[in-house]
Amino acid sequence: MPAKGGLVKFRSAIPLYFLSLIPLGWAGVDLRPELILYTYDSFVAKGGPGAEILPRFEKLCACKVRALSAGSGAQLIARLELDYERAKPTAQVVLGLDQHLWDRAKSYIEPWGEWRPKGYSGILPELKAIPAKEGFLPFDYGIFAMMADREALQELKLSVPEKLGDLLKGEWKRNIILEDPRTSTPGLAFLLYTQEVFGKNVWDFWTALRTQWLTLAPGWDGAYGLFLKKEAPLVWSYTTSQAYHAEHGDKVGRYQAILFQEGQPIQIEGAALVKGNLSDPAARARAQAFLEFLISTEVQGLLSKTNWMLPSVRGVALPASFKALPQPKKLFQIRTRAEQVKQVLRDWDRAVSQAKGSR
Amino acid sequence: MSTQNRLSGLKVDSLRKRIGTFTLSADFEVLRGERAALIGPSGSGKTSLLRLIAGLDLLEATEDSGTILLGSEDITFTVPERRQVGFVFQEQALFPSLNVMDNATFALRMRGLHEAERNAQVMPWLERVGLRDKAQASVGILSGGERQRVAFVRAVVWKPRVLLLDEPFSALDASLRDVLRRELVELHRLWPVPLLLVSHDEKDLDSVATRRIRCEWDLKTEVRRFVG
Amino acid sequence: MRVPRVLGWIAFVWAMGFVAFCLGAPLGALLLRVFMSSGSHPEFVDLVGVWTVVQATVQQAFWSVFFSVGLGFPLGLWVGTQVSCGSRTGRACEILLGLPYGVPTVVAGLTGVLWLGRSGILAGLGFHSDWLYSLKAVILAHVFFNAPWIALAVAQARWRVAQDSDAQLEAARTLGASYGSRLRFVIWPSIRWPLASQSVQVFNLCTMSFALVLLLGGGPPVDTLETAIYSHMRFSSLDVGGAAVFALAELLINLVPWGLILYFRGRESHPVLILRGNKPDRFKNRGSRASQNLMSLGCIGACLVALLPYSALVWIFFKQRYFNSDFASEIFRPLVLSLGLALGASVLVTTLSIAAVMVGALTAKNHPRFQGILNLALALPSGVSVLVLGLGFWLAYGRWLDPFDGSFLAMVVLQATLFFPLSFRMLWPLAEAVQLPLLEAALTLGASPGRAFWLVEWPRWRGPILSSAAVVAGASLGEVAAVSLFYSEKLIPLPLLLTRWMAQYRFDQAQGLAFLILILSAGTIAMVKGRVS
Repeated sequence: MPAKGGLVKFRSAIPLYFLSLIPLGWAGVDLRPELILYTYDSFVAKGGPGAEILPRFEKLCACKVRALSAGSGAQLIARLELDYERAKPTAQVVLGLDQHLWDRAKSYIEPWGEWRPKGYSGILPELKAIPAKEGFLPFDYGIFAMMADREALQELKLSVPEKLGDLLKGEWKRNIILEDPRTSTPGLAFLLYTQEVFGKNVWDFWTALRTQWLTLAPGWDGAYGLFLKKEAPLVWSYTTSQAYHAEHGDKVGRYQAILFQEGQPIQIEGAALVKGNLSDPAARARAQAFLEFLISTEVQGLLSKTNWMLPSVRGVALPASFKALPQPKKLFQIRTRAEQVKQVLRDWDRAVSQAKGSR
Repeated sequence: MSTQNRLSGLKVDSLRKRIGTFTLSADFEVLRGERAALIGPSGSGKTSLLRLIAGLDLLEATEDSGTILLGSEDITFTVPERRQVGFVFQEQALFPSLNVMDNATFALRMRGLHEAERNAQVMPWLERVGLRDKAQASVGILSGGERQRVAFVRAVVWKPRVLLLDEPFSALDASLRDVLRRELVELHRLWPVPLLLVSHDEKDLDSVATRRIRCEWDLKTEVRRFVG
Repeated sequence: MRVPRVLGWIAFVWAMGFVAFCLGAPLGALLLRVFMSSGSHPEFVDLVGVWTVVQATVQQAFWSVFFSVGLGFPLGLWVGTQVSCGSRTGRACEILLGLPYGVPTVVAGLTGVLWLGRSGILAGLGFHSDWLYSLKAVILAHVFFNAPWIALAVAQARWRVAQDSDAQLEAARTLGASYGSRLRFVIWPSIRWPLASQSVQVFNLCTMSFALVLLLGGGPPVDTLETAIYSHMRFSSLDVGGAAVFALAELLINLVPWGLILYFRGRESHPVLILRGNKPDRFKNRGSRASQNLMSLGCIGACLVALLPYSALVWIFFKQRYFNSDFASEIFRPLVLSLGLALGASVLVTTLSIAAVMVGALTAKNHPRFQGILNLALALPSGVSVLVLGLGFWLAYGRWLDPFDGSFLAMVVLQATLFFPLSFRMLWPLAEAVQLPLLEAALTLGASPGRAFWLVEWPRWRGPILSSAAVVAGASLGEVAAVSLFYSEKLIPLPLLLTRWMAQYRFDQAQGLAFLILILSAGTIAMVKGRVS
């Protein structure tokens, strides 16, 4: 039957059609060498720094950068650890560890030895708490601070707190939004900061603070969302939040970062070489070049406005909103060991949840 | 309430009820001790009539009319739980979560009798139908005949004012039917209230019924009329 | 009736394979890890700490269930009595009561803040309350979430009573039973187990509630085991041992109620009496048409109450116009992915639970003990934290699937594992009421077993299967935890996009997206349920 014959012909044409696509597909395969990067989510997200920075580096090194996002900074480590366990290292560079995570990450990191990235000497000395030989490259940092909604402060007739202890004043009762230290990095930073400031008396501070906070949000985003909904006039965030608002229409300075007399804790974000996948000298060179690229003036300038963090090297041109940020008198660059963090969290838990009396 | 008063006749007086496309009409009386059978083809409204008497369906005030009397008491609009009508359902409707004894004593329980009292009242009846040993059994394990017996006992043991049976033997085999017919008559002799039975089986009518109430089906006006 | 052996075996292998691969292997890998690592890092377990969190978790979950049942039971009973099953009102109530299940927790939390917050709607109207950021707020949110779910189970069970035990209800009336007695002796025996299992499910959901507790609870002492598990995996160098202690506590808390239900139910011989075909609806006296309509309206209104809070989102959504080409282009891929994920998860879950239900039904007679064990094993996912299960997946299958590259399959499988108990519980009542006589009748009339099932049973299964699939799809659309373990830059479903936007100061757009997710998940449930019931 002619109809059937036609069908047979058509069927045999299908594989031919797909075969004909192969050369097209081949042309699309990228033959450039690859640099694989582990990083946190917002780095590669649309509007994040990755979209601006990575293409520039690709041009520079004539290679392709594959950035794999691993969620949060803490998840980065879990992934490094699992990679290591599977004996299948994937990434060559990890980007987005902070000083609290460093101790955990170290075993999966390739130390620098004698090598130093070009421009390392230009990095602010207060960011160099971790010895260079360990292989941690601070590429930006943030200063944690309370953000205040001045409009709300006025409505509630509250005065700006000047020191950490002011938060215990009656007027601040249920007027502060914090992050849970067990689930968020800013939350943990706040806890470690109070420990640094109050020393042995830190748990007294926290027991008293229980009546003061409105809620401990699971993460920075939840906390800041509540703050913008005017749930409370004060939230634990970064000084650069002020710059963000200034760049996005806050002409009157409604949202302002507040500094405490005791000084402010900082979060240092770093990049490092990952152990196990650098045996090829060309790959190593590419990874090292990437680290150097990160602290180049060009990238440092870009980082501030895409990542809302401060540049780690001196002399980078910054937008006016960044220049207007308040400068803390003292910075706490707290570094912790994994065991220590565990212990602090356990003690915190006991102080806060097992203390008598309701909120 | 004296026994004399309870053992009064059932009177269905000029009842007219619209059901879908036809009108059910009934006008009859069943005296105490009588066993009347409702006779009519399928779909003539026999079961509907029983349900009206039991109060499971009600007359609509606007379009229906008539009265149902128990003795001198008008029960037309009484809710079923107050009518004191013993009803044996075609599908028995035993409560699966209760055992034989609890099923049989259900109505007494609803009237607030204590367990010992209830059981004492029911035991002779269960014994009479041969279910004494199975009093504590789950109704799920009973045979069809046994279930029907439980349904009989449950309907009669609390001394209702009238007994209504909706094709009580239809699910049983012939020899069992004969036995149960005898048992039913026997149970009824013990408590001779007006009894109204729906059945298709001529034998039921011969061995159980003392009277017949037939359906007159008027094809023109779509009125189905039970008179006796 | 003999179900073809092959079919039984396929179901058995499919269901057992699921238990082995999705539960056995991951949890086994975790346990192995705990034992292997316990030698090198002796872990100090703070039992007092565990106990405090367990107490807080159980307290919160208990009160959530208590109030959910307190509200849901009478509502369900009312709806189930006043509205008949197939009617338009009945369908509407079913849909409305099913909807809250599709609400993502983030949206629920946001809604809580919108209403009860200090600058919230109620505060704007002059009702200032100190409820938010306390245990009360968490319980309130959970009750809004779960009471409709309880009501739905009760209403459906009540409808089954009307269908299967109508004569019993009538018999009880003629025997003099008041409404209370009928409720106690006829209705309650038929709805208590659906109610119990739904309550346990709600209890499970509440003990594992995480974001809602943290956001609305105001911090410790309002606490949850999930936080403890999370913090152990986050900061303490994959302290699986420490996390395992909390995970074990969570598992115990969640499985004990299931065990109790299965035990007591098994002890109670509750034979199914007569399985009749559906009776044609008799004419019933339900009062005048006007009062009937009033009742229907009342029922719909009561079902709507649980959805009322989300109306605030609608208002906000239309006040601020989010939809522009940028918004649309950015959500396009995640949207497609999320829909694919929802479809995949619901198909997988549904085939799995049909298989499991079949295995359960087939083994009920000859291997009651096996059936009990199967039942408990299949309840396992409702007691295991997503974090724990996800980590187990990593450990067990990391060799083959690369979590760093993202894995659509892993997302689907993990979500399917999470939502499986839900679907299983929805379908299980079907297996318990297989109409053997009808099936046998079909066989004697010459139908093959497959055809007999298709003609006799399928019409009864179709509705519940599709609505369980819809509920799973709806829940999948809003699920964050499982997807966050296996996503990659190319595989970002909507809920992750939402959290990402929030991390980028894009709170307004995140709100728009939250609303979109709500519409999608609730819409899926509404659409499918509207079609089937």
